[in-house]
Amino acid sequence: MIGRIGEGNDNGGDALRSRSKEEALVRRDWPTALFCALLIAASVALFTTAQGIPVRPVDPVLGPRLFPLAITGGLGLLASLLLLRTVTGPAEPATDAAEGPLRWTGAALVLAGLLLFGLLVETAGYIVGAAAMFILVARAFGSRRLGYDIAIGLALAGAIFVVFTLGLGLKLPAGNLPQLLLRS
Amino acid sequence: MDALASLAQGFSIALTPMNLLWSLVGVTMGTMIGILPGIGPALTIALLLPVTHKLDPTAAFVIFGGLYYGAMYGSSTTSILIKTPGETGSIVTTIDGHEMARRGRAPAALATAAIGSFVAGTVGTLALALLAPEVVKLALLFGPAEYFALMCVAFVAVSSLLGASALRGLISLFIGLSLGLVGIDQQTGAARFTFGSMDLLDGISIVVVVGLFAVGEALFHASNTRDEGEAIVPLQGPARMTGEEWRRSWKPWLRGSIIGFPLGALPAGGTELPTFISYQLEKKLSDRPEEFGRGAIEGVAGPEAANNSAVAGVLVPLLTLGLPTSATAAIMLTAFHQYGIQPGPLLFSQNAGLVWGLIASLFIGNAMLLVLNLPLAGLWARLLYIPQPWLYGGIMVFAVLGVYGVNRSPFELGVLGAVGLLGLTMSRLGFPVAPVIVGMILGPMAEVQFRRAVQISQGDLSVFLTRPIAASLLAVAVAVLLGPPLMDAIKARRRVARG
Repeated sequence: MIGRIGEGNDNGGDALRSRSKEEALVRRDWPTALFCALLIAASVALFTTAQGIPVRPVDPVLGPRLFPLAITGGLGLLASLLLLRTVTGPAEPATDAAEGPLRWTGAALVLAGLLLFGLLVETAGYIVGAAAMFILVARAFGSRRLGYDIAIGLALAGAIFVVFTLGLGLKLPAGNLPQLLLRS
Repeated sequence: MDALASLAQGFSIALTPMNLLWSLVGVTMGTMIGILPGIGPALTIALLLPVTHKLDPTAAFVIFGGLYYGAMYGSSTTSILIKTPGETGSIVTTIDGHEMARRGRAPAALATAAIGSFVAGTVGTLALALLAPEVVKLALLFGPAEYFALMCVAFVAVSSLLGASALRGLISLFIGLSLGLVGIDQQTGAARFTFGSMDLLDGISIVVVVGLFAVGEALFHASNTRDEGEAIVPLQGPARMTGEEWRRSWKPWLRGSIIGFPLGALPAGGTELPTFISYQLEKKLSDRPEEFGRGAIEGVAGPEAANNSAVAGVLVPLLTLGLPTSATAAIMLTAFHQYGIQPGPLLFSQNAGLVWGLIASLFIGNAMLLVLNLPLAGLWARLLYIPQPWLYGGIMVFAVLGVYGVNRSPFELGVLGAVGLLGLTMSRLGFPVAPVIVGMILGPMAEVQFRRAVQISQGDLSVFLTRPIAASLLAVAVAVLLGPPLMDAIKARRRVARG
């Protein structure tokens, strides 16, 4: 399910990126329509999956299967309703929707930072992984002071590592960087 | 006076040196995260869960309570000095608070916010202490059918009362409900929506909270091109105000306290709504309504009091019924569950020390917050000078610590990213995020109550309509859901008939 929603977001993002000013002026909210379509697809898939949840003879009213069916069915219906309203009528009012166009590189850098942390954390250790992510996220927000970013990232990650592993007993990976450096 | 005796016992627990220290930790962190935009009490408590798990429950909830109160104090600073709300409960404060700051009255705006928060926190906590035992008596009448009906009211209110579109709110709620289904069914052990993955068996609640609030926020602001923010109004020295400003503030404080508490206690979504109502009321009652929007101190005093007493209000249904009415309360409920404690009427008899210790510590924390925020206002304001790249870099570092530090699961990092993207999409498209959290955490509990009710009734669904309390609560839910669109339709028809 998560995978499906995740993919859906990539597509939703593509739609946002390609939304030009002219399209925004026509009051059809195509990104919302696309998001609704993805929600409908996800809810249909989940509704189908939910029919495989085992129900014991002793369970009243479908037992563990009832809520999954009702919730995914409800999600599909609500998304269909919004899709219908978006495509036919005036735009449904939105809560605090962003105004400016999407700056795609910012979001991509934050996600790249998260990915880099995942790739580095078990080999290079928490400190290196978290500092690398810190640097990429800082870039995403337009930082141009790489030296400061590296220093603060390492200091913050190092302080967290010491406090949480020594002080609070959380098991964060130390990494094999020290050994690698010693060996070479 | 039963409540007062219990409260006295609570103070004996809250006044131990360790609990005083935890309270100080909580209120200090709360003020800090309140001031920092992009990090709120819900996210902070979610990130603290793995750490506080090693503490005893009373200490943990003393921290959480102080944190929730402190966030409401701190958030006004951001609203006033840079016109960006630190939390949603201080959106209204940006209007007149920032105007006051631009006219050189920042110290007065901060002072009226802090003292108003103190007055409201005291009134609200007192109301909590006196009312909670009464609500407990009422709650004892509740069976599973009533709890299910009550949760339906909460679902509907959280998703349709806030925000511009009830439909978008409901879709958010159902996304949350769907996410809440992932994992092992507690009653039969059936795996649901796990797709054969071991990683999904335990559910994904905390990862989703962190993903939506930390990663989603970071993605949103990193990709928002019109997010430059206003210049910071510099502040030196303590927060203070003139006699005239005192005279104009004290009534809004009291009115705000009175509005905030019941609205926080109702399942209507926490601290935002009461601040809007308080602002409108002060504008209506003022001799100089034309000043509102141009730096009227009443427009800061009322809402800032309302959001603090709303927090005390939110704790009433959370502690007495186990019913969260805000995202933060939903996370606190998860924390209770981690300790194997079920909030509800029995909490007051089985864990009396914890409950009354918590309530007493809120009085103490509230006093600490006044001291922290009045003379030290200038010091806290320096937090606003942290550059955005480092602020969000730090938030992300803490986010992966909270998620990866517990299970060291790469899979959960993937979920974190995916949920962050979901949060970005929802924020960009104007879907509110709070209903996702409430749906995800309250959904499985509603299901448990529903299934218990039909087990007792042996599969007879009419149990929800034949029991009077349950039936009336469901009627309220339907009215909240269908009322506003029906009213709109009637108004539109009249307009058509007239025109």
